[in-house]
Amino acid sequence: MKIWQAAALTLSAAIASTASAYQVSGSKWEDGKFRLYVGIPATVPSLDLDNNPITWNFIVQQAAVAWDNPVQGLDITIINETRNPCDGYTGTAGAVIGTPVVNPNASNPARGTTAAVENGIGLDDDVCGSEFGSDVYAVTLLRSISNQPARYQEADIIFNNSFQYDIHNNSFSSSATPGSATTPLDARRLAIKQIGFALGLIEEPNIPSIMHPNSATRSITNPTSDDLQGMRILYPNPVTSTDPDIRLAVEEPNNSQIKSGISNIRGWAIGLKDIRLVELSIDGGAFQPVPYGSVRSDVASTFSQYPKSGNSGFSMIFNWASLTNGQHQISVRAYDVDDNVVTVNRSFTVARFNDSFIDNVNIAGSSSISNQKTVTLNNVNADNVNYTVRLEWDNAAQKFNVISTQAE
Amino acid sequence: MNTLRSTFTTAVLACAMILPATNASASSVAQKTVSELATTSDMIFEGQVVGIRSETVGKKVFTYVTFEVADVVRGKYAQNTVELRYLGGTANGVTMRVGDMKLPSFGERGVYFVEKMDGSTVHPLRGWGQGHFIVKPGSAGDSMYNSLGQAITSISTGKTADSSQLKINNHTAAGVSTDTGAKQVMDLTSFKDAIRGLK
Repeated sequence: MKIWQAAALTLSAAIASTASAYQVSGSKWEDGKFRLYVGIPATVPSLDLDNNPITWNFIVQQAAVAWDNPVQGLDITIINETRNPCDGYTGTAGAVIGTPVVNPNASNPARGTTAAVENGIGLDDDVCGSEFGSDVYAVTLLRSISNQPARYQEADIIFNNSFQYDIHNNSFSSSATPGSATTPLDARRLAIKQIGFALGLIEEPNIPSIMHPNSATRSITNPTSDDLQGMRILYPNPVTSTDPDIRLAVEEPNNSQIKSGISNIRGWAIGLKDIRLVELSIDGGAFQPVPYGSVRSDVASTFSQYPKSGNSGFSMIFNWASLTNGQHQISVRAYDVDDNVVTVNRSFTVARFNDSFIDNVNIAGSSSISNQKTVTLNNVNADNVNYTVRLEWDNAAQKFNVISTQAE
Repeated sequence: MNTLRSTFTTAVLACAMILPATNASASSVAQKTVSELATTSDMIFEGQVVGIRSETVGKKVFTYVTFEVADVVRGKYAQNTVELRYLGGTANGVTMRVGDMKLPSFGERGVYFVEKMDGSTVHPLRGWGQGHFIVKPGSAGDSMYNSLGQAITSISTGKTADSSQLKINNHTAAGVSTDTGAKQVMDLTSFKDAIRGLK
């Protein structure tokens, strides 16, 4: 396999393995506060198939912690009290529909009133009066007021107690019957997934994660980085006094990097107020605006406290050979709507041929010398000029770069 | 921020993947084979949605979908219309969502696997989205799609190649092959014949 093929394949693999896939419902809990009443009697169903009984209460608490601990913007409160998740759902004597409901996350919601709402979780053989239907393990009921569709008012989770559950990390083949006595379903993964639903994620079918269709039957036992990234988009980190008004990162060119050919100038900028402009100057020349606003879910995941951090990328194609051989400086600056400004400077070196755009290259007469990371090619003919060209492997870019060109 | 530096291309790809959903997905339903779905459904019919209404019962919201029945594919049903009840919907200022419940839209044509005709289940269709197929007109006649809009290319009695592990919350039954970019989409007549032949 040729070097360029290997490099391309490596890059493809890296992309495939780290792509984001989480999906959100469009609704969430106000201020990230979610109170869940967990008081499921430990006696049903039996979880003692491995002679290590674990209560449903413990399972649900651990499932909630699996989301709550890594997501700073979430504030899940578990209340060890039994609440029927079907309160008000059965019969006609329930909450008055169409009137404002009590926020279930407020302190001490008034249980005496029919309009009080509490998030419950339980085991039952039906869903508040309706049959589960065949092969349905759990259902989460989500309520919102129609004029505030982005805000959940209540979430209730009901597990089907006609199946057998246990705690394990096993996968099942498609011929197995998860939930049977011989192949009990892992309650922990199911609980994490249902709480994920209750918090605003939905199933994503693209990459392995706890919200994937296979999660309860394969050995993913906790929210993955993709799941958590989605949850952080829903519930951003709180802003702290140490967060600057603007953060600006220039990822390419990096300090002391050797640039050649045509590639991107790129990075990201985020602000507590909206970023209105990103611009750059090379070697003290006039500043030029750079296209800004491309998707950066990685930035959003790390700096979710910054609004619009998910669309914070900037980039532009640049022909480095339009500059002279040798050292240069680039200044990038970002302005927010209040005209706060941050500037980042980078020094870099250009390696180029005499012509800024090479039409014909002939390496038929060249010879090469290699060491661990570099390849030196002699007698490289580019547009009728012979050069000694040095190539060096760039890990970040996953390719060989030209790092020097010396006319012979 | 090395991670951020090295994942620029990842982020670009991710842009197409952060999609707002129109309905919540919050249930856990096992994937079954299409044979099992067909043989355990009360009735399978081809029809068109001619009416949708929602009402509240206590805190619950139910949505009733009325279909004009064009053809009974499996089972017995003699009337021209059938009404199916879904838990969830919007009525009297309240929206109740039940995960994975993709309600048929008004005017939709499809083939529907009804689990129980008595309307007692949370979702009236067998396997939820797995028993919900949509008919769309194509250049070569009526073509078949699953409830996610993916083109159906074939029906078999076995498992599809990606079903080596059982799935939960899947919208497509094992044995139903889909291809989003397929040029050869299964036609309605062939689809119904295949469903009738399942054992």
